Amino acid sequence: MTLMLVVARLTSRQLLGKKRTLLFGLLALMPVVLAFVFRLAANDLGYTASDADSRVFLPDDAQWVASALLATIIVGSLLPLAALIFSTAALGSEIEDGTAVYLLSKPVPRWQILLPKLVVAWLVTCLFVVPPAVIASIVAFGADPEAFPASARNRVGDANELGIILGFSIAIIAGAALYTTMFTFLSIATTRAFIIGLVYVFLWEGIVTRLFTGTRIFSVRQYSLGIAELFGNMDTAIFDARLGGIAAVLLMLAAGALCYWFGLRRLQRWEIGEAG
Amino acid sequence: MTTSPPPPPPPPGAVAASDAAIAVINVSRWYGNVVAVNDISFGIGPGVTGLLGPNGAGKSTMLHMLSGFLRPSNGEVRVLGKSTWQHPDMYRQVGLVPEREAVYPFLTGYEFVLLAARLQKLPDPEAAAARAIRLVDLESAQHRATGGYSKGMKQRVKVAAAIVHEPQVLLLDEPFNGADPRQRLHMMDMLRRMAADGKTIVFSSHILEEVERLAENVLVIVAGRLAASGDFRAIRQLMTDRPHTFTVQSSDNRRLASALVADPSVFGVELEDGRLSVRTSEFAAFTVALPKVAQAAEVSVFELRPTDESLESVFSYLVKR
Repeated sequence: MTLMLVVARLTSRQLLGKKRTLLFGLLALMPVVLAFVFRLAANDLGYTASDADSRVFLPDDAQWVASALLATIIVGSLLPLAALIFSTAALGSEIEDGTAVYLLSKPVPRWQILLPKLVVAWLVTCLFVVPPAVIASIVAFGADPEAFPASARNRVGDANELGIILGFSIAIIAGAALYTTMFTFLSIATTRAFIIGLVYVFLWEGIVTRLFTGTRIFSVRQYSLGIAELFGNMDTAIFDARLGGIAAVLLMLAAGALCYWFGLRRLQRWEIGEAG
Repeated sequence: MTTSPPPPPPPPGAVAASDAAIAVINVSRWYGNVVAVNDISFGIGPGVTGLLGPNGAGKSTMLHMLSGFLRPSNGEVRVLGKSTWQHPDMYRQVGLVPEREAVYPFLTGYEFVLLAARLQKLPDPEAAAARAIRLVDLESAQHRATGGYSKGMKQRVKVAAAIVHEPQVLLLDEPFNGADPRQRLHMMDMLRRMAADGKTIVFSSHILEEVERLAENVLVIVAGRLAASGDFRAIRQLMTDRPHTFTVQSSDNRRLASALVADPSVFGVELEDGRLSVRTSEFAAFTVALPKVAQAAEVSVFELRPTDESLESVFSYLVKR
């Protein structure tokens, strides 16, 4: 345990002390800004609690928050990007610059190096994604819930704001765990982890899984959305995941275990780069 | 201590693979179709051993296999009786100084060495870190971030981290890179002391003078094969197919030259500006014959000096062969 704490402390200093982390912090504020703009636009167009009909040109709050803000912007972009940046920095950058040797040349079982690195990358990812998601949702729903009775706030279905926020928060936490495990494995296996990760997130998950429904079982985003639906208790009119909640949980567990196992195996057999 | 084949008797410092702290047994390593190390066997005992070879010869590959960071494609590498591949436990007894300069730039020198001490699960990591930093003479900079260190300071902090647990075997890849002359001497002294304490130290270097000054034994790898191993002077002596050249100072160089040319161990003499150079292909026979010939010619020999005994000369010859 002590050894893992030593590795975890080192990793947290690695991740939180970098300029890119600060830059990512600014990026993480974008959903909050978007939510604020959405809220202002809604109010300017006369979207009030007593005038539900004036919202005809705007998506419903709940629908916009769930599908656009949380599912697309946060789970679809911010989460995988954060996981990719922090996972590849947690171990991959050490492997790349050669400092990994200082950890790997110690009498420490490799799983005690991998696990704390994964946990720290996961926690930092959550730190940069969950609070913006929650704050942005609250901003988008309106700062004063009393001003927006449920009947007026939601044109379709039952919004269950708290459920949406809770469901997506759990989804982000779960998704972050799998993304970090997967990207960490990638960063051990290849020096091009970042590029491959970007291709996976924006090409595979962003385009291919939308075009071909069958591929959703290979999409962390779809697992996360399934989990959001499962725990969010949302009306399907507000948000409809393409993967069932239970299936999403099982697939996520299986994929996570597989990525961890491959990552550990790769780290145990890790060889230093070619040399003269 | 000889060119291969045939296999040589073990030289001082080099030991039979079965008894050695480091045993390399028929090891090969290839990358696709490229053979980096080709069927090498040797044993290394306590003391300082230098690993030599031109770029791409396979010496770094060998050092990485010794440190457990490369799997031999064939054969076995054992350190202190244990296979190095996939046995992180061996690092309790092994310290490694990698060639790459990078250290964690956000850690201070002390924190970097302390990290190593903690990962080694030492009972008093703070004291061990302070001792290691003292040994490499880095106390004045220990609380500065390593990101601002010079190359030489980075080397020293890497060495401190590698010796913090007082390993039985220390492997260093180009440890003198970037170190200034004073730091080099200091590090050499430290390594000599460790060797005197019975530690096994293997280092690679492209600076032959350093190897010559520090290493008791050398391992020369050329084109993936072990060209020679052992005391480099002994290696040189056994290269009977290459003439040795000596300069001789005597009371009468001309008379000594004419006497020596008649000796079967000598096949060439040269007198230039009053200086006598003698070439022989039989080192041992010549050293025995010279006093006798000089005495018979009634010439006093003041000095006998080999002119091509430098490690560079030996190394160049091995590479060209």
